[in-house]
Amino acid sequence: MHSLFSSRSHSRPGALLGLLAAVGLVLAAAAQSGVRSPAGVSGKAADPTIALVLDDLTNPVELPLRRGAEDAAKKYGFTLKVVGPSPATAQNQISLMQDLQAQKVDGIVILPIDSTALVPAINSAVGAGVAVATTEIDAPDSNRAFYYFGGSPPLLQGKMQADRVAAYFKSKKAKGTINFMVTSCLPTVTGQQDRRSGFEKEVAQLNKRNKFKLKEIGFANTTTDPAKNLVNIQNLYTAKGSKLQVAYAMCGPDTQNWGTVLRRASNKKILVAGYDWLPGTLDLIGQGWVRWAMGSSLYNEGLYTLTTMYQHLANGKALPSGVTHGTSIYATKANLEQIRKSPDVTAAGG
Amino acid sequence: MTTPDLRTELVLEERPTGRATRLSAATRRLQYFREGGLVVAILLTGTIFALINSTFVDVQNLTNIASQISFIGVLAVSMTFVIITGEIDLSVGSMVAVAAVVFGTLLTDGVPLWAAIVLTLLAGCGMGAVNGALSIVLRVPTIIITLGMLSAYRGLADEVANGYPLGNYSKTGWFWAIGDQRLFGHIPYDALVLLVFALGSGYVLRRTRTGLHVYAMGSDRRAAERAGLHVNRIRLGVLVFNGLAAGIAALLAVTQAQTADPNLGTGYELEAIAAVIIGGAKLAGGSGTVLASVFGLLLIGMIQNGLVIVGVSIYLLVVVSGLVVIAAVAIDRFFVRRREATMSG
Repeated sequence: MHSLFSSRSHSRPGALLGLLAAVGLVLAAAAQSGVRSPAGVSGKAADPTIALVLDDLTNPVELPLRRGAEDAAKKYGFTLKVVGPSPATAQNQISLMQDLQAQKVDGIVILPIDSTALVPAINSAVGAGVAVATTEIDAPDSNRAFYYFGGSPPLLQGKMQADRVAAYFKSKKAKGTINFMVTSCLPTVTGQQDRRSGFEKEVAQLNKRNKFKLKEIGFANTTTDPAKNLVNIQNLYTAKGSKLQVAYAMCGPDTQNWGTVLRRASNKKILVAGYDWLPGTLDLIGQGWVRWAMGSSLYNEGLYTLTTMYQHLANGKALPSGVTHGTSIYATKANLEQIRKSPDVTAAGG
Repeated sequence: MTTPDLRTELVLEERPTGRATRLSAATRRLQYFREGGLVVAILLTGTIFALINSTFVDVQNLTNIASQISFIGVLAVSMTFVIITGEIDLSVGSMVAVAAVVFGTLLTDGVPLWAAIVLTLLAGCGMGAVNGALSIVLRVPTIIITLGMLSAYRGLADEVANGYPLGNYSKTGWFWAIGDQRLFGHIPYDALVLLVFALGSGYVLRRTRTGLHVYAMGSDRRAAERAGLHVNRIRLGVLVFNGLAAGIAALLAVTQAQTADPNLGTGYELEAIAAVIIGGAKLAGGSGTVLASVFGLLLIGMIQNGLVIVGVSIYLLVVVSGLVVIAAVAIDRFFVRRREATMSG
C-alpha cells in the first residue's frame, strides 16, 4: 500500500491535473477581480477601461487612493484595473505600463516610482493613443496630460514641516542648537526625496534668521516592514535619543514607530513631526507621543483623476493640462476627531 | 538515546593537563565546544562595539537586542530543523505575513484573542503542510515549491488585508504586553518566548528519536530510507513545524509593532537561513544545532544594532554588516577546522 508519505516514486497524473485545475480556477477568479461597470455595457465610449498603476501594492497609505478610484468606477460605470509592481521597482512598473499598452486600455493614471525612469514608458503609451495622467507623484518631463496631487507638492511639504518645527521652537523661545533626524521608509521614491530636500533647504534659510539653529544629526533609511522599522527606530533612539530634539518622520510606519518608541521610553521631550494618518499614528497623536502628522487627500487623488479621465474618454471632455494640487493639512490633538471622519481615514478602516 | 553530538560532549569532559594554564584550558574548552567559534565572534564583536561606544553594553540596549531578534529567532530555530534535513524553506517570511493578517482579520472581526491565537498558529501549520504536501505529491524539491509559495503567500497576505495594515482592535491585555513590556522592567517577554521555544526545540533535536531521525535524513537520505525511516513524513513534519514557527513569529512581530501588516516578514527567510549557516550548519544537511543558530542570529542582531549605535552611515551599514558576517563565519570555521584536526589527530 502506498501512503501519501511514501518516498517511492510513481506518477501522479491525477494530482497534477487537480493542481492545474486549481490554478485555472484561481486565474479565472483573478480575471474577474477588476471593478466592473454596473451597467456592463461594452464598447470604448460607453465602457472605457482605465488602469490605475500604483507605485507599491502594499503601501498602506495608498488604500484611500484606490478607494477613491473604485468609488469613481462604481459611480460612472467604467472598468477599472488596479495594478502595481511587485517588488516595487521602476523596471517592474515599466513592464506593467508596456503590458497595459499591449492590452489597449483606454486610459492610465499612474503613480510613477521614478519621475525620470517612467518617462519613456509614459510617452510610449501616449504615442499609442492612451490618455495618461499622473497622481501623487509626477513625471513632469513626460507627455502625460495632467498631474493631480491631493496635497501640497512634496517639496513644499518639506518646507511646511520645517516652518512648523521652527515656529514651535520659536514659540518656546528656544536658543542654541536644535538637533533633528530625518527618517524615511522608501528613500528612493522621488516624493520622499523631495520632502527631505524641501525640509533641508528651508532649514538652511531659517537658520539665517532664527536665534536657534536646526542641525541635522542623521538620516536613516528604514523600511515599510513595521517590525523591522520599529527595530531601526529603536536603535536610532538608543544611539541618538539623548541629544535629539526633533524626529522628522517622512512616512507612515516610521511616524508610528517613533511614537511607539517614545511611549515605551516615556519620553515627551522629542518632537515627532510626522506624516500620514495611519490609525495607530492618530492614536499616538491623541496620547501626545506624536505632535502632528501631515496628510494629503489620497482619496481625492483617486476620485478626481479617475473621474476626469472617464469624463474625457466617455463624454469627450478635454483633459486638463499642467499641475493641480490641494493643500496638505496637519492632524493634531485639536482636530483629531475631524480627521478621523475624513474619507482618507474611514476608507482605510481607521 | 545517543545523539550525533555525543563525541563533542565526551571531549568536553576532558580536563586540562597539569602544565596548562587556566587561560589555555579555557581556550581548549572553547575550541572543543561546537559553538566555540561563534562565542568568540560574539565576544569580539561586542568588545569592538563597546570600545567605540559604551552605550552598546547598556543593559537597556542589550535587552533591546534580545527583543529585536526574538521573532526571527523563532524562525531560525525551526529553519535549523529544515536545513538539517537537507531542505530549504524560502516561503517562511511570506507565511509570517499571512499569519499576521489572519490574526489581525480575526481580531478585527471580534474573534476572542485566545481563539485568534490558536487559529493563527493553525494557519501557520496549514501553510507548512501545503508546502510539504506539494513537494511530496508533485515530487518537486522543497526549495522550488517554497520559491513559488514565497510569492503566492505574499500575494495572499495582501489579498486578505487588502494591502493595508490591520490595527483597529483592542490592544490591551497580557498578549500585547509580550512585545511591549518587560519582566522586572528589564527582561523582554518576547525574548523569553524565544528562549522557551529554543530550549524545547533543542531538547527535541538532541534528546529524542525525532531529532535523531531529522539528523539521519539529512546525513544520508537513502540510508535513512533503507533503515525504514519515512523520509517524506519527516520532511512534512519539519515543514509543518516551520509553519508553526511562522505563526509564532507573526504573533511576536504583531505584539511589537502593534499592527498586523502584510509587509511583515519581507526578507526574514534570508536572515533565518543566514543565522543557521553562520551557526555552522551545512546546506547539504546532516549538521547544525539550535544553540548555534540562535548564536548566529544573535551575532547578526548585534552587528545590526551595533553599527547604528556607533554611527555607521546607513548605506555603509549594509556593506559593513555583510562583511562582518563573513568575518564571523571565517572565525567559526577556523575553530571548527582546529577542533576536527585535534579530534582526528
